Amino acid sequence: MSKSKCLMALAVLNIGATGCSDPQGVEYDGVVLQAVDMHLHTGEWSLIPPSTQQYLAERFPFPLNLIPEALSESALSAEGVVGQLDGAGYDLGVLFAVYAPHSVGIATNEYVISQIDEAPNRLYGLASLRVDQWESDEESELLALETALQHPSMIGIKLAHTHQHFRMDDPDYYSIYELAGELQTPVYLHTGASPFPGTLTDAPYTDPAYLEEAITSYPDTTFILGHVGYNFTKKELGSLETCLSLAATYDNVYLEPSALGSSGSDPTGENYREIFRRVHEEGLIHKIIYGSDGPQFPGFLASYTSRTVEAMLASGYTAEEAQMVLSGNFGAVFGVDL
Amino acid sequence: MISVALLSLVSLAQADESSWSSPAPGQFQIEAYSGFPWHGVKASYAPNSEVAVTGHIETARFRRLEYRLGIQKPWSLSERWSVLTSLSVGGVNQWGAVPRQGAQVGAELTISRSGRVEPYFSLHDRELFAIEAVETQSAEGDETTWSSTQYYSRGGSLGVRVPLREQICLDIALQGGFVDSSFAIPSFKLGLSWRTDS
Repeated sequence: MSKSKCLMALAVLNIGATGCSDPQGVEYDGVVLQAVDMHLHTGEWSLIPPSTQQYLAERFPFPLNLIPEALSESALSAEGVVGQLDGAGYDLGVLFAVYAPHSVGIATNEYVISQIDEAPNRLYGLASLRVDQWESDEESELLALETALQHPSMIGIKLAHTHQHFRMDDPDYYSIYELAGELQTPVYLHTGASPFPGTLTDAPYTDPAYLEEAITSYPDTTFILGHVGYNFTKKELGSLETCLSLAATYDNVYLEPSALGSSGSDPTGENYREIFRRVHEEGLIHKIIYGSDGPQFPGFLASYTSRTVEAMLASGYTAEEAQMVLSGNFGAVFGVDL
Repeated sequence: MISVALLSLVSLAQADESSWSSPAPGQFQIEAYSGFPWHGVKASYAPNSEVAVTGHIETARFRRLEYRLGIQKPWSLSERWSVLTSLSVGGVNQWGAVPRQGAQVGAELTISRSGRVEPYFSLHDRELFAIEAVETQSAEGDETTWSSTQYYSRGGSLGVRVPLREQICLDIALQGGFVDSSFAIPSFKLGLSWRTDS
């Protein structure tokens, strides 16, 4: 039995007791750092497709995997997310709206806003939009996105080409980047092959090289390359070097290393350490923004934090540099006072 | 408090001290139990002193059903201590977010000490050969293929049987291990057994 699964089980039994404490910060090399998790999910179980429900439920220990609905909704609620933020020492978290009916389901902008409003001092959000009937709905979807972004805590846009089934280099969708530039709101983009059922694995949907045209066409738009191109299906670094090259070349490109460093996606931690080593080597520490892709399962945020701290220590990050990764770069990019 | 109550029950009982781990020759024994997360019924009959045949059905939270037929053989180590070895074949049906279905084979070993209070420790290994549908989606279209996946359920129980009457016995146990190759939160059960006269 792995230690993480023991901790997970204990966390499950203790879920209600961890949601009330104040964040304590993240300890790094003897220094307590302020931290923000820029990649968190909320949602309703019933809006997740069955194949993805199974994928998620299999991450719970028996017998919680038999009836995962209640536990999942508890973990995905504002209270559950804040409980995990507290447990991992985080000040702030960012919830993503998701419109991916083919894969992970739907968490509407309105639902995300309702969750943020339950913990306005702890949660921000990224808005999203449907693209599956883009030819007819482009105008109304962009208007809905703009409306959601008027909420003071909705600070960016979330896109995932592999989940939403549109090519990264399809100019028909560049109006999203144009709007983001006009509103000065960053765009987070999933890059790399996803492990979820219903995602597309072909390069135009996963390889960030296909984003370069949009990046150069919209210099006023900030592009955050989620998962730094990690190939989750093969558990390989995937398009990491492309992401590093784009971040090094363009001022409007940033990196985010969520999910890939988990025990499931990188069992030995070797890939996660390599990513932080390469970011350090390329002088891109000012370009990487921490996110976990939680809450996934109870105790995940704390587990991911410890693996991140270990990876940064192994790569020689100073406490000041770790502070940039854990919160400083987020504040600078999203204009949030910390 | 519970142990005091149980001791009181034991002192009142006129139970014999034959083992409750397996029925004696000619005996039929049935146990019903409930707990977290398992509820079930196990019946056994010993046509002779060598072996007993068993039938067992149990459910976890009414989302997973396991059923098995088996044989078990008692081995006497001493006047008090005995070992019970069991083999079984059966099936599993699980529905909900994580569906499972398939055939299961298992083996179990139990060591126990007979007496007015009968402690026991058991280890089991059950192998499930699950049939699963795999749906692959791509830009070219969807495809469904069938595959077989083997899952193991391994673990142990630490329990005590408390004879309440000559033909009735209480069974309390803690269980831990893995189910379908995944860590399982430790469970407990409270059971009541009844058996015929020898």
